[in-house]
Amino acid sequence: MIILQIFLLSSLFTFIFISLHFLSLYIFSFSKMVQQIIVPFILSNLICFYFVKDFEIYNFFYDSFIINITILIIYGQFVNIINKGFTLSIITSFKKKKKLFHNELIKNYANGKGAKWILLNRLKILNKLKIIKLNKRIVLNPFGHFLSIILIFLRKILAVKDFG
Amino acid sequence: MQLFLISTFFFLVVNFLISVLLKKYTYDKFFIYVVSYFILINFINLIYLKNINLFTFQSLFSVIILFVHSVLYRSVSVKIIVYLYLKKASVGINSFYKTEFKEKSFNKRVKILIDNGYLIKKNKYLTLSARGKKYLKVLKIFQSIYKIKFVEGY
Repeated sequence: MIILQIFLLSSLFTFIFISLHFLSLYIFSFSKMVQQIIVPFILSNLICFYFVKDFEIYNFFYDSFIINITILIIYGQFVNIINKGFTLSIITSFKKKKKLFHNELIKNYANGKGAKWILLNRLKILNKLKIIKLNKRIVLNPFGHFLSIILIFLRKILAVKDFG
Repeated sequence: MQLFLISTFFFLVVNFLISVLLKKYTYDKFFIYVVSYFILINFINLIYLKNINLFTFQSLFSVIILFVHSVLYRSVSVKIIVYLYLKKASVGINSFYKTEFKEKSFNKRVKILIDNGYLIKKNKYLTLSARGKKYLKVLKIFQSIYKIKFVEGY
């Protein structure tokens, strides 16, 4: 019975959260991911809290909040994949041309930006975050060294052997 | 708290054993493991423990672990950082693009799409299969709902 109450509370949250997300997209035209998702997440939790604070279901708000964070991660990841999915982008390269040579596919990738663009884009971001130094060659910064140790450690813990 | 730590430790130990036993431990297999683990642990919880906090913790833990694993397994940025660290030297952008990115990431994904029946290779041409066309149609609908003009690519 408790679990049903938590699900009920989280369902209410999901409905408000997704509605607010679409409001932020269509009415306020927020462009940044944080504005589009985090602001609706906080607001919908506050709305849920306000509505249930006088009822018994309020006791399960903490558990429901944990489920809400889980919903946020799943939803955020779903929107992110539609927006930035590597493999999906290969499929959408066939929007304009139905037949492509392998080299054409590489050039047409990401709406004609090309496959190399992603690599350069990621390198620029890593350079901006001071993880690498970027000239004609790529070199790790001390922060990059530290980060790579953490990443390798995490890969070992989760037994990730290869790259996909 | 002890219950959370024990379940997490159990998860990691079984995950390690699976990775040793299986020849290729891909993300799909890891996903199946996480879902099976989640069902099993909550089944035990439902019958014996009846602990609601364990259920909420497991939900969050499973999603975070899937998210972290996908980043560590697929992210281009992580690949660059780990590659540079293991190489212990600077790398030219063009050589990295040709040997690591184009061959081991881009071509690998194209091969996966061909193997899974989304793409067809015909006389050196690549075309979408019926399954791929269906997928593109669904993707277009979601992109229009979320006002996405094109997929940026990871």
